[in-house]
Amino acid sequence: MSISPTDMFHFLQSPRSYVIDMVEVISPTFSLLRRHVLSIVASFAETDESSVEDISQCLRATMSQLLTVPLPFGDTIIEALQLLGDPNSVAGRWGRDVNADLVSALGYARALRDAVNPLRDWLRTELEQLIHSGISFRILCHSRDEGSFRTILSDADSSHLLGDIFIHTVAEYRQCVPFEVLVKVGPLRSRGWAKAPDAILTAPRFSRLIEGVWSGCGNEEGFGYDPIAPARIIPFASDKPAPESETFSMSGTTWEVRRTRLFRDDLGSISDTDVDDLQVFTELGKSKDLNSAILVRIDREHCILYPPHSRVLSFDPASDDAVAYRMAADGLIEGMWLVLAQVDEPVSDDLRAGEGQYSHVWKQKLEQKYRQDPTGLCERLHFAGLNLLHLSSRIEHWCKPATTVIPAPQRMTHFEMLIDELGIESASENNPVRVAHWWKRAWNEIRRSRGEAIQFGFQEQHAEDQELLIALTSIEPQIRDQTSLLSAFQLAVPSQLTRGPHFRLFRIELIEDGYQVPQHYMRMILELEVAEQWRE
Amino acid sequence: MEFSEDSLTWRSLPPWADFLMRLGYQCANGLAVPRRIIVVSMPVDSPGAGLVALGAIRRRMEDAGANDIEEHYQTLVYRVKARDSTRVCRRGFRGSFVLECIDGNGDIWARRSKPRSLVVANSTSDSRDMAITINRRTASQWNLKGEPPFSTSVGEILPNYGLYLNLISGARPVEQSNLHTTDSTICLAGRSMGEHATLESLCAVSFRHDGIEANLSQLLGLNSRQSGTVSRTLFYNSRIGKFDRTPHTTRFVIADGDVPFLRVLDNNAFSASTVIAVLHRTIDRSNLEAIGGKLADLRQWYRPYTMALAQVQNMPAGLAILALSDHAGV
Repeated sequence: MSISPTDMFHFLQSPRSYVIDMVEVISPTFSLLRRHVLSIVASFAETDESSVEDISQCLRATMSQLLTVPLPFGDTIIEALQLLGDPNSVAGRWGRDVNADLVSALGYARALRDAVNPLRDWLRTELEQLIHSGISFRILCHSRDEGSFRTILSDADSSHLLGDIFIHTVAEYRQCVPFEVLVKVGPLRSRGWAKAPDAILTAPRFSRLIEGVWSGCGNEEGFGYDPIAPARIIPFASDKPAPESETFSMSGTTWEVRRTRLFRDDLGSISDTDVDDLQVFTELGKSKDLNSAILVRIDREHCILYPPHSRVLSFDPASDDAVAYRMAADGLIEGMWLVLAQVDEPVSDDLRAGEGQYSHVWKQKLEQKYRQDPTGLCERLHFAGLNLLHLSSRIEHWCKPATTVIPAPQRMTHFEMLIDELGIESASENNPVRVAHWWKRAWNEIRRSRGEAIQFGFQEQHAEDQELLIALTSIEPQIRDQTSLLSAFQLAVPSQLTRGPHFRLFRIELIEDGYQVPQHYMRMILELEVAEQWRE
Repeated sequence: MEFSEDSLTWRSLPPWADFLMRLGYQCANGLAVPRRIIVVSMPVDSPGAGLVALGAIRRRMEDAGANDIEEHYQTLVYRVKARDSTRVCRRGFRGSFVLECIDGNGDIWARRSKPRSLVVANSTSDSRDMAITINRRTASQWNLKGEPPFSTSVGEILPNYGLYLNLISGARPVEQSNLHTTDSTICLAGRSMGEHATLESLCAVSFRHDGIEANLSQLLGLNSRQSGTVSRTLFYNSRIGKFDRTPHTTRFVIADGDVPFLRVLDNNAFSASTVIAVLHRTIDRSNLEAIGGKLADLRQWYRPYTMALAQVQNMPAGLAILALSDHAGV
């Protein structure tokens, strides 16, 4: 239930003070780790070796997550660093500086592996106080990060963190009735890993914000943007020395900011000021042939990324011109339907991607080999070049049957390596013609399940677009029937029309901007987990 | 005047609602020139745009002859010349008529059924095959098919006179003849989610006075096609970019949200209209920046405007306004 305008104005008019309690956590060991990882990522940004991009992306995402989510330090960063390979070979490949950074970073990461994350420690105390004092509070975080908050607390206390205590999006914030305290981990940023709605400052539904940030990662200048108000700079932005307390006004609300430094002297003090890794990662990401994208979520686990100004075939039940190509950035809205066309090959009646002959074969083989020797399989794949983080859990995921898509490696080269390791092609010696392209056929099956667009020349594409529009319009009544019943479905066009395309329609659940994505990952169904790595 | 946001709980008119209606009322006071762009920033999603529109049509109702009569006749003439087979309806006649031609006297000929022969019929007959003339005096008795009734010759009087009368304290009386005719001077640009979402938001708000009760949608006359009443508010569906009837001289448009605001500013039909946008701040940064970018563009040609705002007192905390005018210091 959302708040009525009268109640909201009543809340804003009643006399109260608005406070931001900002806790800056300083851990010298973690600072040193951050510095060396940043140095590696910066070095990779200066090479033209395409293979390092995956590793660099993984390091950026892992560190960004640690800076904005209350995770235990654990093995994650060690595993990410180990993607670089044996330290002895790193010097020869990327130079002695990278090697030195890697050795140092691995040392600090191992020192932190079993250490208590001070941010989690601080957060536990805050959450316990809030729970036991009966204060109404909400937690602002990404939907995938809820678990990190729950694991901080004991089972009894974590039972207080029910689903509706978390706010994930500006739309959910809009629906909130007033409460007392908002908890956030990570700085206030308009985009990326620490993204938060500007409205938390310009239209507060609470009176106290508790904010935990790592040293150096301050709030964004200009956060709390209101297009009709003069620009304000909130205190305690990155690299700005600030007093312990300061006030500022924003959209008629006066905020007091109180800063506390939480120093954990685990390995001695450090003299240098921490840099804003999140900001540097964003800038480095932009320089690596990444393109701006908006994320369109189609169900709880899947999404499609589009260039903001691309034209997207879509269906709007509320419009007279229901079937149309709409601009991704400002033409699509939640509640409309995305349309993915498959022209060249019919697919099963079920919306699920379906277990075709290829995926059935390689998944069975993969599961069999993984059960026999999981460690050995991971090592062999890693040696072959399939250097992915959490490879073991990814293999388990690839063994799963198809849902909206066929779970499989994201990259074609990785899939080829996997099939090669499984030895499927060499086992099919009786049919050499088919064998030669077995993995390609299997890969095409995966691509189809992801709804990848079929490539045409420009003029041919334009004609194809028009054909698809006509074909889709011809089945509009059937589409309307289905949209009132389902959130995703599939329809075929009668075969006498065009080439008899099949359409997969997905209801748009959420649209989110702020992604920087390699071009070849656009316009295909992706798992949300995969898309997350490209948050700005 | 009582006010409800759920049709169950009634309270006196809250200050924010009173403020927005007065804003619409004041801004509609000088509709002619200069063009103004006013943005109201709200801390919460609300039917605020509908309230501004209600204040504006309330002010418009005070003026004698505030209707579309002349524009309506000109539209019929234009449609005949365009030969687009426009159909018109009139109370007392079954079916619709096709606008056919204009004769030497300047009368418009409208015909029902197939053209075997032109038979001039008197206005009360109802033969299956007939033609009839429409002139400037009788044009108001006809309305375009699929559009709200133009006048009570075709449809019903707009009800709730008592509510309009007492809506804004200190306002001048309503000219009752205005409740008999449709007017398209004030336009509401609906939400980007579409007409249904807009109506749902407006229907949630109701007014009650002396036993008369009506929701905001009814007071704006937005459901006139269904109810058969005349309409005092032109509706622009910003999701699909269409009006609910032929727009004539839309001089004042109220945009319900950020996307409608941008679409209104990009639409030539509103190039001379004063625009009031009611936005809420609980939207994505990219949407906020789109508004900020557009306002930065406008500031090159428009200057800050404060006069009307000074007349509207008691702005509630949490609400902010930016006003621009294309003439300095007006």
